[in-house]
Amino acid sequence: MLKAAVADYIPYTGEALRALVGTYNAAIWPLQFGFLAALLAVIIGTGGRVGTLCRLAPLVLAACWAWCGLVFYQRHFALLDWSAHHAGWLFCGQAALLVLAAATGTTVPQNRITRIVGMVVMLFALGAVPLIQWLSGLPLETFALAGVTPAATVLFTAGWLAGGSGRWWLWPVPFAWSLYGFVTGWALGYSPDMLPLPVIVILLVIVFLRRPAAANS
Amino acid sequence: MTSSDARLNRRAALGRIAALGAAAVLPRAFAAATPERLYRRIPVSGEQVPTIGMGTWRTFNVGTSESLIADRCEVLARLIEAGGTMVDSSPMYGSAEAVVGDCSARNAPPPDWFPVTKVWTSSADEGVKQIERSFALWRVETFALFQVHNLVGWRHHLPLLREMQQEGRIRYVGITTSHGRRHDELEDLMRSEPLDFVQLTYNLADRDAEERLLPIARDRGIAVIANRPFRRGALILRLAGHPLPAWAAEIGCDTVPQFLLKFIISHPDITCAIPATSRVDHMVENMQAMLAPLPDREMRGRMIEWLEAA
Ligand SMILES: NC(=O)c1ccc[n+]([C@@H]2O[C@H](COP(=O)([O-])OP(=O)(O)OC[C@H]3O[C@@H](n4cnc5c(N)ncnc54)[C@H](OP(=O)(O)O)[C@@H]3O)[C@@H](O)[C@H]2O)c1
Repeated sequence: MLKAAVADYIPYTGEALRALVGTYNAAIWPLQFGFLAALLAVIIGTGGRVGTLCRLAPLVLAACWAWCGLVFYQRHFALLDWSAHHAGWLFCGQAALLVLAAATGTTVPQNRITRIVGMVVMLFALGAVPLIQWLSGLPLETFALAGVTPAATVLFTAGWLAGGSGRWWLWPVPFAWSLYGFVTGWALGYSPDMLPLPVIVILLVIVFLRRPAAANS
Repeated sequence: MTSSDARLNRRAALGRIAALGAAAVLPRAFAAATPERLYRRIPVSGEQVPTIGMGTWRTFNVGTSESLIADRCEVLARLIEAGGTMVDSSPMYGSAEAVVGDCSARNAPPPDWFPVTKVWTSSADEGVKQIERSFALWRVETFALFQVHNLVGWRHHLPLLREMQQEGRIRYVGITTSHGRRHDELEDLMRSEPLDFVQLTYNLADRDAEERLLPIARDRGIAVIANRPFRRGALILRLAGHPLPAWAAEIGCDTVPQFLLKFIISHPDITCAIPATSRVDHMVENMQAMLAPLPDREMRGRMIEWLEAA
């Protein structure tokens, strides 16, 4: 009943959303590979603590967020939902924050545990999210992929943030989107959008527990 | 059993339905003699409209997916085949207007095609743009009915819509609300503004409108469109495990959706109901509620009791 009540406020169905992602994927093909390669470089940079790659990471993520905001939301998703324009600007805002993060210093991860956890989440966003969609029977062309669609991009970014960006002000937008994504995904029966919230909650707990001692005092 | 108090007009069943193999989709009891389709008059003009139309919230918002558009075109084709002419949409419904426009172009709409949409913005300037966009999306020169959606910005839009009515681009002007919201404001507008139509929520479970709004509509000669006839499907789900009472057969109801629709359109002050569906079988099922007979006052009472006991 509650599910139906929530769905009542969403102007599209899960079927229409999947079809939209399919049309969008076809329209941007094969750019998905470019984004996936760039995100893989971010994982390698974080894992190997490669300074240049680490410094480039927020710029790569900024490009992903801006792409999702301008192309996915504003150009494609706005067809289904007028509120996509707002989401689009929110994503552009996060892109701007990531550029700011790139401009304001080093982002080489320090804490081993959070770095590993963050990498696992980034790998999950890149590889396991498509796998989950495949296992849930979604057709290949409708896969929501990291870098070009919101949920997996939010998830990947959360992994990177947990890995040690050290900037709390990069968390609110991914967290807010994960809440929205969870509610809409649940109401529409669209699993990819439901994934970020539980992962981000766990990440935030881990990041809080592993915060530097100085922050405790 | 037919309603004596309903201001119903009946047209003989048209050849179109027979040509489409109506016997196959009509309930067995109806196969021998095709029941009449039920129409209502629009008070302000006397024009007749079918008592069942179609809404498009969510169901027709399918973007540019060719396969989903083709499915929806099939749904619209069944509406037209069964004698339906009224389709209701809004700029709020994403791509629904574009999809209806596309499908109506493919389906060759009937001569009495009744396109209905809304303006939904608080800005006067944006309203002008939105209205023009709707003409382009629907691919029509004239809208049968243009409504102010949820009363938003009505002070700007009503004068503009009336101007367009004078110019012949819009035939009727109306205003909408839903979920039982803002009834006081709607009531004021029904009393003070010259409206041809109002759209509001009315169904077997949501009957608030009976108390004040429907009597005002009757007094002021305003046609009434009932939206959310199934509470967006929740009523059908709620009643799914409850077999219809035996007497439902007397009004030709085989299924819960038909039962719900017949209740709505048998109210004498309701002009039509606009259920939304994305499915051809549901459209066929719903359109059968447009066939005589309808429940009378006494049976309407029993329908309410049945719902309350369910
Ligand atoms: N403020 C406003 O102006 C306003 C507000 C609300 C609604 N409206 C208008 O009124 C229209 C109708 O309201 P609504 O769309 O909210 O809800 P509704 O028509 O009460 O219910 C639509 C739901 O019922 C299901 N359904 C339809 N026929 C069925 C059948 N025979 N068997 C089983 N399920 C069936 C549909 O699912 P399937 O797709 O699976 O058939 C759909 O999910 C809207 O589409 C819109 O045009 C206007």
